[in-house]
Amino acid sequence: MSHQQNKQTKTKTTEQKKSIPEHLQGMNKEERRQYYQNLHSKKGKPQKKPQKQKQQKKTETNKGGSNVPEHLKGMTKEERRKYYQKQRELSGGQQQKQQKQQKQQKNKKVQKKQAQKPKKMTKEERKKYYEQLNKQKQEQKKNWNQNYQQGKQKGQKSQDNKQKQKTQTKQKETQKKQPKTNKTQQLSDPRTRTLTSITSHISPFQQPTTKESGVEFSESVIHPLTIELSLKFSSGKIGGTTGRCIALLNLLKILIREVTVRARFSEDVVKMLNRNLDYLIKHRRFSYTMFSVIRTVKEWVSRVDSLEVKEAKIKICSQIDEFLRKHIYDAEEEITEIAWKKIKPGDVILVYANSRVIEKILKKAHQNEISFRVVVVDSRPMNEGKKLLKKLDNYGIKCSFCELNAISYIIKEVTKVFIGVAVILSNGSAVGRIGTAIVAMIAKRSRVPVIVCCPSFKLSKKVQLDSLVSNEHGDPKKVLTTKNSKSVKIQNLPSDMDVICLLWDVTPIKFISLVITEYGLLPPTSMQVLIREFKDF
Amino acid sequence: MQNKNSIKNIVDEFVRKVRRAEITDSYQCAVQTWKILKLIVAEFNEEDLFKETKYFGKMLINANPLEMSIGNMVRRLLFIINKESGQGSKENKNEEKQEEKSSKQETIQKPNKTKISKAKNHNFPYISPPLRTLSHSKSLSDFLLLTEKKKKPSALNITLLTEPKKKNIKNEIQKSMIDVEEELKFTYDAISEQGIDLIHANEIILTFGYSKIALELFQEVYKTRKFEVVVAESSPNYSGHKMAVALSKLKIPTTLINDSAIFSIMSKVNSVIVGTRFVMANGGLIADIGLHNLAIAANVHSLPFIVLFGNYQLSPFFPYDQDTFNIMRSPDEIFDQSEMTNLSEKVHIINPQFDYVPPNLITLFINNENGQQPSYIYRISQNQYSTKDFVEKD
Repeated sequence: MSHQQNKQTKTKTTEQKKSIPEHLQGMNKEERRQYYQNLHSKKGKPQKKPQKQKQQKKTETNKGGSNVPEHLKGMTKEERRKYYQKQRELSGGQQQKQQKQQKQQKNKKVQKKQAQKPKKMTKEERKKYYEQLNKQKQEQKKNWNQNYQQGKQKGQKSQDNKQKQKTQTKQKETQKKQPKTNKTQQLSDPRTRTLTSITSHISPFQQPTTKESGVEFSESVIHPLTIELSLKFSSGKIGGTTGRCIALLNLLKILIREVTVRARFSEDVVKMLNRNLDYLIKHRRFSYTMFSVIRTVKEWVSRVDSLEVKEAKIKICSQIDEFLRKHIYDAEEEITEIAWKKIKPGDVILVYANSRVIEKILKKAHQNEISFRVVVVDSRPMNEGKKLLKKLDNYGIKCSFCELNAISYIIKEVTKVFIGVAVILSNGSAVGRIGTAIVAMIAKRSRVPVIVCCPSFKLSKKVQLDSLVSNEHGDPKKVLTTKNSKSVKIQNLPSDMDVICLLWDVTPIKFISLVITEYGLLPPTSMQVLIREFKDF
Repeated sequence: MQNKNSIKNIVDEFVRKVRRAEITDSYQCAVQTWKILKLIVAEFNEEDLFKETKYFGKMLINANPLEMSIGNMVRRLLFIINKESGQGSKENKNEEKQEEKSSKQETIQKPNKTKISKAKNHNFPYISPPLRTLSHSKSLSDFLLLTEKKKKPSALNITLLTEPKKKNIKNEIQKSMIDVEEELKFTYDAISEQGIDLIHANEIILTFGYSKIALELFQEVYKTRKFEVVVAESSPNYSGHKMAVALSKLKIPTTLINDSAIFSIMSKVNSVIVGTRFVMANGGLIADIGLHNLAIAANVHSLPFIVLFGNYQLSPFFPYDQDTFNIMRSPDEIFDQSEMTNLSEKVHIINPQFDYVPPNLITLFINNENGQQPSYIYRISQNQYSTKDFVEKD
């Protein structure tokens, strides 16, 4: 914050005066400037004291504006006028030469070079010297591409090394109790497991913690609500895609309302958001919808610079509210209006895991006194179906419950399948909780229609053929903890055994019969049209 | 009679163990039933053999009717008795008495007719000979001669059949019982020898739950080729965890996944090799629940779905539905009791034990002898069992 002041212009608004920290409020401007200069000197930066002091004195007399270039600040107005007249008289090339010479005189590097050279060089020799310099620069420009790529490779190697270190540390943690022979065997065997290497591009599971190095609580860099949210995300209290989006948007509203803007609104807000979101993402990776939401909010922020800060904040908060209303709450209501009519008396409806929209549809159908019954299917590792079961049971709907493996037993009774998703891709396939692909596959085999309900903000331009392209790793402990408690503990995992816990799944388009959005009933092949025509962001 | 009581005691002990689920492995059940049947054969005469095997067999089967390996071994004995002695159910007995008379009369002159009549009276379908014999032989008699293995078309053999019949029956029965016992012993070896044809180098193979046959096969193949295994834990019994630990002890690289992740990982897998509980005569499987999902997923991705089974697992019934051979288990395996208290009484929790996989989803069966097509399994069951032993209700 302090070094920004010196780089930026010296115009101050009323807000900047209020933002003076407490330990410096008793001092004048000059004393504050000296204080900050002392800070700079302690950090080892080059000092510019003499030049700045001169400039400060003369700008006070001249009342010079912010637009005066540096090499002319030592002069008064009349001197500057004469200088510019001279430049107009001279030709264009000579002007540039004079400007270059003046700049070079100020630069210390060139001064050093000139000091190193013997001073008895003639003009011709100096010309040759500068020609050589120019040649070197041109060669560097040609080679910059190679240097850039070399730098990239180095960066990738460092990232690979980091990943290897992470996996090695994990393996070491799991193998502390094993005898030494296993370690030697593992080190000697260079072949790694291909399935884990196939999934190695997916970011590994992160343990939920509050410890974060570099968090400066004294300066209140990260809002306490982000810390609260991060714990809720990582522990699983706030789980679904729409739930997480709503929580994120509410958080963004509060952050934008409470931000203190010192300079430009957009820059400050974006920096603050990046800080907070970087902290959040470390606890649980964002879904696609959350990324797109963040992108739109940043776009709104960038367009608001012309207004005053208060108005800008109000505008953005109202935009967020409108987004919530239009794309989430109203959309869900419209979907329920359309979809509950699809449930006929005597239907047996199969539902997988937990989804807000589908809960509302079933509730509404039950309120309208349609006699139907529901089969709730659940699976490991997330076990979200049990939550839905409790909610539906409280509404008074007849429910039965089974595990994912028993679907082929129960599908003969089922008439319709309703599914909620996380994202619908532009090629029509749906990304959902792991296991939805199996449900859709078996329903298709038994000629039961599969109906996907999702609001339009879950549509994306992405295309995925495979579930392993982009996925998320869950906690491997969830795979290993079983009711029988017969399985291995993660500390005692043998060396040749690995555990994978994936959380998302791609159901191909051929298994989906119908998609219900707030714009109506559509086949899955027309998702691309929706994206092109109706998507605002 | 004392021996009969001792046999009863042994049978009762075994039945008790099976009912209490102290013996759950179907291989162990088969081995122990065969021991008991050996004792029965040693005790009784040939005339009473059939009755007594039926009597004790019913006791054994009723211990757990869904533990089909017991019933399979019993029926195999009955088939052997049928074959060697000619004893069987009532209809067969009358017909065979007529055959004996006719055989005595027409020994030398018309040997072939007796064989035709025998073939008709046994209600087996007509046994078609292999194609190459059709080109060489011209008469019906030659067809029939070629089908029967040990008997040669000479007059001497026919006379031998009539005279010392009663002495050799028991020995022959016991001999064939020893053959079956050896077959049981060497099932694992015989199947694992065929594994090299199934698994190539550097492949990823998907299995489901715990199956000892599959374990032995992987162990055998891993001696010569390197590959990897992905194990799906089969909930709610979680036998996949046991399998993964056992495989990793053999230094085979394994990964353990949830059942819900089967479809997402299938695209990176090369083949599916699986063991089952039982194989039925139509080529379908009765397996732990969840295998049907795996079979359909493999079909969608067009991967080979290979099933390993031993002859003791083959049972002569024909299911068509999920419900024909199935049983429900307690919901406690899925739901905690603490969670159940919040629910009302209307909720119906379903936890079936078995899953039926129809034969059109299976690409290959692997048996003790050879690889089999699912459409051929009925033929093997006919070689092992006779139809009347399980159709009648005594």
